[in-house]
Amino acid sequence: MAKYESVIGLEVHIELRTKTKIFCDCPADHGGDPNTRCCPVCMGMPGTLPVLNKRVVEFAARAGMMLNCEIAHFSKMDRKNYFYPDLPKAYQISQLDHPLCEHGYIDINVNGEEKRIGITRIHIEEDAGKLVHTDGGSGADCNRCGVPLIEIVSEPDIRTAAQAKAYLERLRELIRWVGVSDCQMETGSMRCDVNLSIRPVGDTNLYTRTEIKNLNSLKHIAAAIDAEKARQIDETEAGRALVQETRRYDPEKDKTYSMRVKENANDYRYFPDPDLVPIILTDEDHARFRAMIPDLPEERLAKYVNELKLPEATAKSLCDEPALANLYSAAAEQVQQPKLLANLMLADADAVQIPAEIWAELTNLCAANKINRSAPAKLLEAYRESGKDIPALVQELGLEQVQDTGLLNSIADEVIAANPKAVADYKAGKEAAIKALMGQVMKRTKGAANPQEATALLKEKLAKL
Amino acid sequence: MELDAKTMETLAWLSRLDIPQEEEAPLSASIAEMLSFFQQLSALDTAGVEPTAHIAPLENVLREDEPFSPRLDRDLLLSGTESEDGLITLPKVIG
Repeated sequence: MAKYESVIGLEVHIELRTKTKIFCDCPADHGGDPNTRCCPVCMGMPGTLPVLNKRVVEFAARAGMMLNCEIAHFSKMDRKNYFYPDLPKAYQISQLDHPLCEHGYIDINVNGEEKRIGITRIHIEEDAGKLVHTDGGSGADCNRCGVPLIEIVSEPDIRTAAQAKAYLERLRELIRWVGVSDCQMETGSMRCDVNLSIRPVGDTNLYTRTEIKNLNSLKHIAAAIDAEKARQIDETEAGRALVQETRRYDPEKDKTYSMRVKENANDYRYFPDPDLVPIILTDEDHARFRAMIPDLPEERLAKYVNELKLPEATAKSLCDEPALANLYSAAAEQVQQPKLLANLMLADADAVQIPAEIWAELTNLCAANKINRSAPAKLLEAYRESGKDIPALVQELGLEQVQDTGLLNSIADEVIAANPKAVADYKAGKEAAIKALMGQVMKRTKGAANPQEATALLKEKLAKL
Repeated sequence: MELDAKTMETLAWLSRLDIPQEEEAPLSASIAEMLSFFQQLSALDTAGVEPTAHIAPLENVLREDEPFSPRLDRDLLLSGTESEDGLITLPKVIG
């Protein structure tokens, strides 16, 4: 019987996928040689002034709405002061008492048990740079300085590693779905710190907690929670007092270790940033953001399956990639055969680069038997190269389906005459032999015959032989 | 306003200053004097006054999410500091 339960709150940092950084117009994406994506503003040089990126506010508000938060009408930026070599200004611009979003929640389901995890707040802030450690010393790369982040702070509502994992998976799904981040733990665009304390089951007080930082996978987060819970129980049972501190998790030893940060170091001396003025969001702003909030992923999936009659696996493949699902929904409104559209889109590795209208056009041409099912791949390739419109490309590549039955008739006769072996095999009962004949018909029509019509025609002719 | 030794120690740590013992007392007195100067503000009755977020009567100073400035050359950006292989040189930091 479990004597203790864990009380867990998670702090999740997510990089927003804006083009530029939060306070300057340096590119915000990953990569680049060290210190080639930074400027005097994000490097904290004297005399520079930050200017807030409008899209950061929009993205953060949309994330908040997706997570059922209340969005502020008044918000402001504050300075959080601390010394670390990856923070050139010696303060991080963040939010203290007026975060952009508050009081949200996420519903999770673990082994059939529903649970609501509260979200205390979501605030916007800038990322720090990166340190590179070498034998000779350390070096700072400021490319990541000023990349926009949201920090999502949960209530201490989580009790188990499985619940933490379910919360993070759902959080990731929703933020990706609303289209403001790719949330990849591997690349660091989503990061998680765990706050954990224990208490006797049935007790409702909160006790001394520790914070486990720098966890970079769901697996490690779950393992760190179990390891830290076990350690806190051991300490408590042995009569030793727990200290509030920051710890790190070593996956090889499956243990957490104190990071030995000096006591009282967390005195951040927050104050309002005098370089930045308040953010005022009106009801109209809220409504504008609200209009950009999609239905929930499971609602979309149900719509695809129930209304558009897609097979569940197909619907899931679309919904796995939010950008693809949104493109599909836009294109599906313009077609009669949504299933054909889905198949065409899923057959293309880079479907999101093609506009919805083009997908709809290709689907409708296929559905009307104006082009063959093999034609879209060729048309897409040509479209990517030339950008010409689809009817022009159909003409240019000679991809119109052969509607001329006279022509098809004579080609079928030629093929039958030229392939006595396949004809004999077919007559001997090998039905598959018709495929060889079909291949010849398609070759001679350059793929432009309607396969159903051609097959029927061949069968008819062969039956008469 | 008195500053005890513990507060002085905390301030020194937060400022990353190593204060020689003989300077502690005069520095402490000097900070106390500065604080009393600001303490005059507490004579004002601020009950019911909304906290001021910014002294300028401005709001929503925002920029579009578009790259605009040409990138400065890295050598120029790093010219005020020691660097090696494009990285800003630091003392060894335990990561």
